[in-house]
Amino acid sequence: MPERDELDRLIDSELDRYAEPRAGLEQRMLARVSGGAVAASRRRRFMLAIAAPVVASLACCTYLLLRTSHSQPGQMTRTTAELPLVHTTAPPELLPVPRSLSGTRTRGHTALHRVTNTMPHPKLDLFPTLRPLNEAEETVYRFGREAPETDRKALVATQQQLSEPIRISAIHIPPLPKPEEGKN
Amino acid sequence: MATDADAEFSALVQRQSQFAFKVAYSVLLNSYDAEDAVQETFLKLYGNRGWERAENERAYLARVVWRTAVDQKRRSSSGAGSADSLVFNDIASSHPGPDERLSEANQRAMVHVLIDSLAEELRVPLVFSAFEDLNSREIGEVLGIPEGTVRTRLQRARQILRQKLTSAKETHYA
Repeated sequence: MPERDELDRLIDSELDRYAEPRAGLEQRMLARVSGGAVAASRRRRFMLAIAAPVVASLACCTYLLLRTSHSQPGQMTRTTAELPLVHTTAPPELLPVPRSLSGTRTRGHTALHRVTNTMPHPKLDLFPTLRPLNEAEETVYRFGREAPETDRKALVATQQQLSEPIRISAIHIPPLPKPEEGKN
Repeated sequence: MATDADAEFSALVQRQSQFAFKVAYSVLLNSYDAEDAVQETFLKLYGNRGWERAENERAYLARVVWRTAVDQKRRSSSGAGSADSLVFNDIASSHPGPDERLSEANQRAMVHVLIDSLAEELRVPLVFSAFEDLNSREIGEVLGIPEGTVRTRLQRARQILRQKLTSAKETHYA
């Protein structure tokens, strides 16, 4: 089939010449790839210039947060140790729980805790609060230890007398005499 | 580009640019788009240097270029079907007489346009088959289809080209 052979040769020869690029393709490609690589490198440097400070800031923030959260349990222990031993009338569920013992801790929790940690603790319903004796109490205490027994008994008797209820006797008022007639 | 790696890359561009262009052109049917696809391909290769690990450099390159061209074609608004039919209609209308068609230069031009007018699934394996370094198995690997399918498509593409060329000749001699 010479006809088919001729057509096949025509197709093959045309396939060899198919899609011939314009002259200088290699140089154009090298120049464009070079330009593209330089541009990509510039983009990378630009992104790095932006990303590096951001990453550094994030690292600093993380470090500060971690440091703050690690130092809090120590602070709380010291504060608790410095508190005087007191008895409270409030039920335990109403007492403030130290955050170091309260379990879950979130980022918001930590920030809130940092703020509240610097604020004064609320007044508790406590009695009696331990405090040094005042002058009068000191005098009574010294008297009880140093005074002779007779004086102490006299004081006790006086106290008892003071604490006993006051008895008021019935008041008897005699009636006034009738005025004489003719007198005012 | 001063290092050894850059020199190797330059050598790759020098020896494979035309091949890459043909692969890209067989998909995109446009010289400028094909050059863009080749540039994108070489940029990728410059970054990952994948050709150095490839068993068959041309097969590897053909696969990368083909994928890049197909992606580029998807991104662009011009579809393959419309382009093919447009090209084929253009040849029918832009070649007024059979005498002109069957002159030597026009005959080549017509074969070229007939190849372009083939469906992409037939055209790409046909163009790949012209490369001596790629056999049917490797073409199948590049395109992700079985070797038997490649052979079937090649036969079908050639059959269509022969029919159209014969028809054109008969018209000329009639």
